Amino acid sequence: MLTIPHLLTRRSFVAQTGQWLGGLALASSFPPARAGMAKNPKQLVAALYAAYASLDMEKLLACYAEDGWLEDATFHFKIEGKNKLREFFTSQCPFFLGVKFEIKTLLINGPYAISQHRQSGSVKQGLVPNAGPFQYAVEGISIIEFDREKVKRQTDFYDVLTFRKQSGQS
Amino acid sequence: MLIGMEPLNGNAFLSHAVETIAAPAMPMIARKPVSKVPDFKQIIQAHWEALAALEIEKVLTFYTEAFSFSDPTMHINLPSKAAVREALKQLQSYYANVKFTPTQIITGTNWVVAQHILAGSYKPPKRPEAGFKEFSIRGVSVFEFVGAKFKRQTDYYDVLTWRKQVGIEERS
Repeated sequence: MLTIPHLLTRRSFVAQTGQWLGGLALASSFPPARAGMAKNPKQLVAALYAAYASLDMEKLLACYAEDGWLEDATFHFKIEGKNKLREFFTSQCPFFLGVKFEIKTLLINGPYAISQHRQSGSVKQGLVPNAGPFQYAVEGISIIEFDREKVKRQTDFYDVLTFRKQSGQS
Repeated sequence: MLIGMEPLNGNAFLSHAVETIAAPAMPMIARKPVSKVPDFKQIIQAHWEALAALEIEKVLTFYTEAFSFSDPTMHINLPSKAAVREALKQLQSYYANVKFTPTQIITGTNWVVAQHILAGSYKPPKRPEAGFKEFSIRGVSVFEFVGAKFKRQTDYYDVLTWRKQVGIEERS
């Protein structure tokens, strides 16, 4: 369960914002799907990443199946089901000022899409008075399984050590 | 647990199609010899076994001459086979009882993404008096193949758990 931001310690704030890394992405590398046509996994990844880049919670939720889940093996969280995802995105969205993804490789087979990328962005330091946002840029991978054009499972791994350093945690 | 997924890649599909459908249906087309598709899962398993045993020269036989390795989570970048050889020599002193257990393997035409558990014992080089400490962490490896050999391998691991389990302090 996520902690309400204003009750976070600085350390846990950084840890919590790190969790947000679990899904963010950029869609600019992909062509949009034509209306009325079934989307292939590449287009679904594009839609998912566009939703993250928009920081729009409803767009984000629309990408996931009702029982879909999002986990990050490096930031240590697993969010299961749309209700929990809504809580998660609600708690995390306000901290992010911008997000960008640079895709290095996108591997596709059947319902699976694997994205190796570099995520960068800007995050508010909500607990440090008068402090500006910190910038981050980390390498990561997302392993995504789609079902009926929705994310059924998403597992992320990120360079958490670099993120902690960039966020001032270590 | 290994999640069985047997999607046919392009070569494998052609191989099956030639044997079962294409040949009897279109006898006028001369059969072309189909090269045997490497069993990527078997190759990765054999590679993991060699790596777990830290049999350096055997590990290197799995790589092309232009092989490169990187791990963005552990901050390791080895641009050549020679660099891998040197890194493995160092690891021989610090790792023991290493085991790779696959949890999900996804294959493509020339790539494999293998989630797994990496377990074993590790002795921190800077504190050998601490002795070996056991660890068990999640990871994923992306293998890019040329034929039956790896051209490139990229690993990602749960480095925070690994550090905690082997007793490495956070760097400031």
